[in-house]
Amino acid sequence: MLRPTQEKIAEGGDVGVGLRRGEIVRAMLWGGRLSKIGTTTIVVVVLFCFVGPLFYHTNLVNPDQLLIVKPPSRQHLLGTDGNGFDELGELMVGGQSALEIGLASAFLASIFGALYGAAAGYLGGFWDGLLMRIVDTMLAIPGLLLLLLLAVIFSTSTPVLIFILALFAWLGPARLVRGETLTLRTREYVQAAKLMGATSIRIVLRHIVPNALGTIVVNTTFQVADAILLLASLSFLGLGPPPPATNWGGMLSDGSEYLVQGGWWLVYPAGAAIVITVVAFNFLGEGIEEAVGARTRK
Amino acid sequence: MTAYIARRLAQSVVILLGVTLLTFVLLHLIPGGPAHGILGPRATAPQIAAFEQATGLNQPVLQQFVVYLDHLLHGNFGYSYKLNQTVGSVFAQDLPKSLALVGPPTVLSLAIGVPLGLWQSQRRDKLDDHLITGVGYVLYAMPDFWLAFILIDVFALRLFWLPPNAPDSTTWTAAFTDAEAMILPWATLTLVSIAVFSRYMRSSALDAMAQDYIRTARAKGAQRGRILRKHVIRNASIPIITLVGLSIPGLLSGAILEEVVFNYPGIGLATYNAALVKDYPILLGTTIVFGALTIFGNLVADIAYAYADPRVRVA
Repeated sequence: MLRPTQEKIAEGGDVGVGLRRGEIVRAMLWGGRLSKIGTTTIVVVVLFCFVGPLFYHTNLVNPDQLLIVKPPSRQHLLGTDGNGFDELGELMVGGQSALEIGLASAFLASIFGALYGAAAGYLGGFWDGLLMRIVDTMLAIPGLLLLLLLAVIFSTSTPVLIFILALFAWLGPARLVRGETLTLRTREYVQAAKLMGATSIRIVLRHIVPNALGTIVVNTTFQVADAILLLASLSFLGLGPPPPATNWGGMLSDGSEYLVQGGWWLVYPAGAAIVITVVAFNFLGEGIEEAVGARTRK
Repeated sequence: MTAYIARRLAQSVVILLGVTLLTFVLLHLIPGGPAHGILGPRATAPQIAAFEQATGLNQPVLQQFVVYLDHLLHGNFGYSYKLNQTVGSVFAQDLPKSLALVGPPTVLSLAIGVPLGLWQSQRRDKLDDHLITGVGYVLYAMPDFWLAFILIDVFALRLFWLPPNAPDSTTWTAAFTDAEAMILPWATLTLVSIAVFSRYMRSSALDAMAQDYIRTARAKGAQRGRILRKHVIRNASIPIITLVGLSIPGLLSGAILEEVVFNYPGIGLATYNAALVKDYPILLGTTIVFGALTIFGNLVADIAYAYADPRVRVA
C-alpha cells in the first residue's frame, strides 16, 4: 500500500554517529529555531500547570453559589465557571492531566508500536503480513470512532484513558518502524550479528530499535500532540476523565453551555491552552526531525 | 493494472472482514455483554438469560459472528432495540445527511487548499508563506469543536449573521434548502481541511521543483508559467490523490464532533448517542460502514495513484 510514511528513510540509522548522548539531546531540544520555540513553550506550559498552582491558590473543591459564571475580575483573572471555581486555577490543574495522559499514552504507544513494527519488519514473510494486516484493520476504523468504542467498553478513568489512547496511537509508530526495519535488516551489522548466532529478539532490541530511534523520537513527539487533541475530543464527548478530575477538553465542554450567556472566558482560554501546547509539541517534533535528519511524517 | 486492482481488492475484502471481526469481538467485551447493554443495568439474570436465548447471544461468539456475517451479506445490519428500528433504516436516514455535511467542505477545501499550497511553494520563505504556514499550524492544532465554538460565538451569538444550529430535519436535502444554517458547520470542516491540504501541496510542489526534469525544462528555456503548468502542478498533484483517500477517516471523525456541536442529526450524532446508551447494533453497524468507506477510499486512491503514476504498478 502507498503511504507517504513508508518512504525509504535516508540513512536514518546513522543518527548521532560520533556525537555524545548529551550533544544529541541538545541538538534535538535546542538545535534550531523550531526546537527552541517548541522547547521553551513546553517548559512554560509545564511550569504553568505544575508550579502555577503552588503560587496561585484557588478553591477548586467547594462549589460557590455566589461566584457562578462571573466574568474576569481582579480576584479571578479569567473569571469563574459554573461551579464558581476560578477558571485560571482550573486551567492549571486541567493542564496537568492533559499533559500526563498525553505523554504517558504517547510513550506507551511508541514503545509498543516500535517493538511491534520492528518484529514485523525483521521477521518478514508470513508474520509480517499477519502483523501488518492487523494494523491495517485497526487503521481502517476512524480514530475517534475506535476511541468511542473503547471508551464505551472500558469505563473511563485516567489509567484507562492512557491505555485507550495508546491502543489507538501505536499503529503509526508500528508502520513507521516496520518500514525502517525493512532497510535496516539488510545492513551489514545486522547480518554480522545474525551470523554470530544472535537471537531474533536480541537483534531487534540491540540493533534494529536503537538504529530506528531517531524516527521513534520524532514520532513520539507528534504522538503527544495528537494524544492531547484526541483527549480533548473525547472529553468534549463526555468520555474523558470523570469528575472531579478536570482537563482542558472537559472544561471546553462544560464552558460551551455558557457561551449563549456570553461566557467567552469559559471557552477561549481552555482552547487556546490546547492549541499552544499542541503547536509546541509539533514544533519540537519538526525541530527534532531536522536535527536527526529522519524523514518521517505523521 | 488488472492484477494490481485484483490484488488490492482482495486485500480490502480481508481488511473489511477483519474490521467486522474486531468490532464484533470488542463489543462483546462490554461489561455484562450486549444483553446487559441492551436491557440496561437493572435487568435480572432470568431476563438476560431469556433475551440471550431469544437472540442467540448465548451461542459461542464465533458462531454468532458467522450468523451476523450471513445477515450482513444479505444487507441486514441488525436491529437497534434502543431506537426500535433496524440499523439499516437508521443508515438510510442519517448517512446521506452526514454526506451532505462532509461533501461540500471536502470539495471546497481542495479547491482552496491545493492552489494555496502551490502559491506558497512559489513564495517559499517569504513573509506571506510564513504567515499562511503559521495560520495552518494553528488550525491544524485546533480541536475541531473549539473552532466551531469560536465561529458560533462570533457569527451567531455576537453578530447574529447565522443560526448557531444546523438544520434539524429528517431529510438530507435540508442541508441545501436551509443552506444558511449549514454555513458554520461547513466552514469549520473546510478551514481544518484547508490547513492539511495546503500544507501537503506546498511540500509536494517543493519536492517536484527539486527534480531534474524541472532543471531540464528550465535549461531548455521554458517559461516559469509553463514549467509550473506542465511539470510542477501535474507531478505535485499525484500525492494529493492519496491524501484525499486517506482523509476519509478524519472527515468521519470530524463529522461526529461537528454533528454533536451543531446538533445535526446525521450518522455521527446517531453513533454518539448509541455510544452513550451502549446501543451496540448501531455501534457495530457504524464501525463497519465507516471502515468500509475508509477502505474504499484507500482503494480508490491507490488505484487512481497507480493510474496517474505508472511506476507504482510494477512495484
